Amino acid sequence: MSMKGERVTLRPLERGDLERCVRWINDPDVTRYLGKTFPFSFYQEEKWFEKMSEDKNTKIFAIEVDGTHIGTIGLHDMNRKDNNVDLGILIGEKEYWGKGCGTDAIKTLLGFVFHQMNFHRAYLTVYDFNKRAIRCYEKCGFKTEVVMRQWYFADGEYHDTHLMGILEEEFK
Amino acid sequence: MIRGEKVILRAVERTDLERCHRWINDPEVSRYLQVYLPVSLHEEEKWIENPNREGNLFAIEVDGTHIGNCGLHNIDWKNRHAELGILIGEKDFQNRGYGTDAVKTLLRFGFLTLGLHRIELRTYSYNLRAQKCYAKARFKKEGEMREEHFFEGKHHNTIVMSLLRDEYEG
Repeated sequence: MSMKGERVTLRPLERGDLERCVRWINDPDVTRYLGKTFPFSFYQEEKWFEKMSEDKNTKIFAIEVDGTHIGTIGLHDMNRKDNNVDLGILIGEKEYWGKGCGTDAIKTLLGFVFHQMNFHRAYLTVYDFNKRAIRCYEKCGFKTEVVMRQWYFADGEYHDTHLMGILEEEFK
Repeated sequence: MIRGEKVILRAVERTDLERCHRWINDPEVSRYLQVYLPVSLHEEEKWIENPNREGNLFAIEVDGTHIGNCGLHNIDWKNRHAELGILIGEKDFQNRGYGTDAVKTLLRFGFLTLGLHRIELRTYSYNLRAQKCYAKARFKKEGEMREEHFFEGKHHNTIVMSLLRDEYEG
């Protein structure tokens, strides 16, 4: 099963996608926004994939544009009692940055989260220096709810981290 | 043992288990915690003994009486932050400043012993007594996660508060 957005398609992440994923999460231009500290091996990525596949509260999708796998998007910590879910996204292929693919992927996944899975709330965290991501999330309807002061350490200093949320009734 | 003004914090022992189990199953206590299912003695024991927990768990004692638990959880050493959690299970000891003293003692431990940069906590919007206590300990409210917590038929906001190292004693 796949989900179609305006330009992107979301499909389950497969083992065969992992080599690309390892390349992305070892790229400093990508990882500075993800909070990964150490270089990440293919073996670790396989372990992560297996763990995520078995975790009932996690679902990872590959983002495709015209058949090209450009990134991943996922639902984490799906909490059915409080009915909220943590959303994470990465566009690894840099030539696709700034082209609205992330926004399209998020809107597509939010449609699934609210209209198919019947969640009440989605949320995410983002470092304050990731301005492009914050703009994208705002475009999707997320609001900054909490600024966690000096929560994240990178490049010799502490950075604020935004916690952003969107409620079911705010999603159009 | 970590000494506060009114309380001491000590390690939780197996002999504390039945008390902890009673508290966590008391709806007047658990309504302020994430717990919503009845907790078995076995589950409580596993939680107390969890060797993988990146953090710590202390018993709060007043003159030899174990009145509650607290700890710094999810310690993130690289980013140097941790999450503070506390419960006062013995109701005769609520509203008497013991919680505030335990929180202040944990802050001293977190900042001066562990060398943390930030100590944060989450509390539900309807837990006004806790918010007063945290404000007394100089925590600052950073925002509210809207409708994050479902309780008694409604969604409630969850408040995030924190204190930074340079605000402590500052």
